[in-house]
Amino acid sequence: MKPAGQVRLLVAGLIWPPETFLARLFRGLTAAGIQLSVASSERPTDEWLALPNFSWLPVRRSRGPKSLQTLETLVASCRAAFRSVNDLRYFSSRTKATNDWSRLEQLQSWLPFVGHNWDVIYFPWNSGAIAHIPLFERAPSVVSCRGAQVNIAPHNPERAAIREGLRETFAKAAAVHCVSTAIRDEAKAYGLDPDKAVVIRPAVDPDYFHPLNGLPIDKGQFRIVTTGSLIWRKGYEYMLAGLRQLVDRGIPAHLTIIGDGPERWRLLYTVHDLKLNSVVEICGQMHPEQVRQRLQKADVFLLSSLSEGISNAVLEGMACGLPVVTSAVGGMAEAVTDGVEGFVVQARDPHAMAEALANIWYQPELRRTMGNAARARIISDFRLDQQIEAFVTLFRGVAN
Amino acid sequence: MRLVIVVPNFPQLSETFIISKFAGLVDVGWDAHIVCQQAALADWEQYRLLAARPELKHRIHQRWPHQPRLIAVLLWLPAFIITFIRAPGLTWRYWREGWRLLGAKTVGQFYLDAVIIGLAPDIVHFEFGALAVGQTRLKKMLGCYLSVSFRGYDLNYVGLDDPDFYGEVWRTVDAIHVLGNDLWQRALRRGCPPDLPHACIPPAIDIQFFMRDDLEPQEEPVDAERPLRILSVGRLEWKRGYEYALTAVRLVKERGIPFEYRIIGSGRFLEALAFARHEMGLEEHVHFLGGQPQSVIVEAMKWADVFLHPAVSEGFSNAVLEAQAMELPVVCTDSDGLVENVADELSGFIVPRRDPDLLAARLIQLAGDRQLRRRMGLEGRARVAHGFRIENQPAAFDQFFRGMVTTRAR
Repeated sequence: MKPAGQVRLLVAGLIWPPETFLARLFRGLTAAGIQLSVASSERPTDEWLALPNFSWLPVRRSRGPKSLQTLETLVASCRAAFRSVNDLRYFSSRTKATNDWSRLEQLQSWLPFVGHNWDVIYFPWNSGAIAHIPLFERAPSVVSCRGAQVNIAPHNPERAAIREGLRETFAKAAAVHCVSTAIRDEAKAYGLDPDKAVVIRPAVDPDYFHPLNGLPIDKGQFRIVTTGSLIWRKGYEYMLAGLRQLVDRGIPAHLTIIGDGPERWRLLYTVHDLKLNSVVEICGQMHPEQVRQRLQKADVFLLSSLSEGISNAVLEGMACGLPVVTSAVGGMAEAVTDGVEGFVVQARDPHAMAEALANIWYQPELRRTMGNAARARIISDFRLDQQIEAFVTLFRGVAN
Repeated sequence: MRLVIVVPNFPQLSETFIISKFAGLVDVGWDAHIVCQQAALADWEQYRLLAARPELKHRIHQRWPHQPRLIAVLLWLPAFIITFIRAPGLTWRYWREGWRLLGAKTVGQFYLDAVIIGLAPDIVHFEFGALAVGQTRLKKMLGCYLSVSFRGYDLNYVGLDDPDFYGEVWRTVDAIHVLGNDLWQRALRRGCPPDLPHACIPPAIDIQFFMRDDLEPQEEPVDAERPLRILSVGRLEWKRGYEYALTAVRLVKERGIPFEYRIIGSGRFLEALAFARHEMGLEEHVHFLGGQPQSVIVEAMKWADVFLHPAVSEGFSNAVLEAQAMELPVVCTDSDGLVENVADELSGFIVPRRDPDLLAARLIQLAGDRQLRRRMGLEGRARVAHGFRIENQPAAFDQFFRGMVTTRAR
């Protein structure tokens, strides 16, 4: 018998190592006594494996020549049959794909789950949930809606199949976690029953991300910071066009962009083309500690995204006492109230962005009050301990 | 003389200019060959310039495969034997010079270069600037001439964070070809010595193929029954600036002007554009038609009233030349070579890049003035017929390569 209240949670459909916000959640869950099994093809580090209540379920990622894969699947099937013949039969009957080869690949990815039992299964990503639909019938399941997979992918004509996948997983899930009310409303278009939806917003640790006291405001330079992958969704081209306008107004702006990604050339080209070389610094990927230092030295956090769930990067900036200028996308307005913690402007509108930044530059007092409001907002509504508690409650509720 | 043209893949729908250049050089007497990573010979018949010329097939050479690495290990010895039989002297020279320059790395490099060595080229020509980076040692190792074509992205943004990205290229190559004066200026800004032999040879098209055969085109008025037909052709990439085009047509919509916008081309940026289309509520008005062969493009150009090219970075743009040859007025940006391509106010309108308001204003102007559309269309046709004819191109490249081998040492 398992001890009362103990919950065995499987996390599936993710790539290890996880994003920082997922890593923080997993640590919090194990600390709260939830038994966490992570199914991934990459092995977690020893540090993770040494955590109490944490275990790893290795899954194979299909690679190598077909003959070898077929052989591997055969061996894995035999082993799975020893664990549970019924289970193996169940998973084999659920393979549905266009040809025998993809069915074999599907089976290969599900075999590790044969013969195990969990109280709850959690999919941190919609795509991961769609790839593991048979698991939904093994235990009550929870799916997270975080951003692009609900907001963007379904509109791509080449990925139209994701709509059906979203519908099916929403119908089968016991609960659906949404990072904002905005994404919950978006997900309704794909059949999400609002009664199943649980909004738990992202969170940060305000003890780690905090302002540096006594740092004087640098009157000679307006230090703007942003963090995020260099991808189209972040709308950097519009950000740089806004920055150009700011510089043309004679404001001594300096922009630090932290992050790396496939659109690095695009960013570099735009910086050169708009003659912003001397005012933009592209730092690449940075360690969280370095990110914190950069945030603490900045005057304002800028987000130009075209789509978001709720940006963790913005929350980190707010926790460091920075006023925020953000585009009005996804759930951003649920974290930043226009005129209180910063300014919320239309997406794809460099002029509005420049206007909001100029407002903050010309009013140092505003910068301070908005920065303070931002930190206060994080402490009241976006604290990591609150978020983990909400997840623990969600998983326990679903398990029972 | 034997000329080896190095390209990533061949043939490609979006790179038909390479086909015409290659075929043209063969026609004027060059022993031209193509070396590529992926040769799609099964698609040969789809290409108008190739379909009638099966004899060119033996001039296309695919490099030895190197992914996964195990394949390369297995095929190394056969690659060596075949190359040695084809060009024993040059293989010896490659190893001798290679060992001096690269040491043990020659073993791996030899496999990657084997096809080029086996062809024993007099000239190795890289069809894009970025392909030449790291390959300039071939000049010494093969004792050949080396030349490069710069076509846009290579000078516009590749390696922009490294001031010496093309340093070795400038120091080694015998001549470069650029599509226009703007690119030559960019090359100079990126460190190219002013005295490096160079030729500006703009793209050229077949005006017999890109020709209207319908009677009295573009005479229809624009109204609810007959919306303004806008067309763009080009791969779906960030540098084409399609997001600004979508913002612009949304402004056209807000002005109550009926329109249909078709975009021909495929690419990874489809997701960003499909999302923007959804956000702006343009699903009914904007259609992504995917990549299409030239015959379909010609039909689409007959359909259209206006050709829109919103690029934020562009080498020269063959599509804009084709549109002008098809008597379409062009609305484009001032990106790089486009200002040499289109005659502003004559064959089209040029507006500053990243400015959807101005793009929209020109579209609205053209929507309301069919005489202007007709006049600009005819002007465009005359412009292409005068300066960008495919018939003149082989002679220009012939001169480029001849000039190089007579003035430079191997």
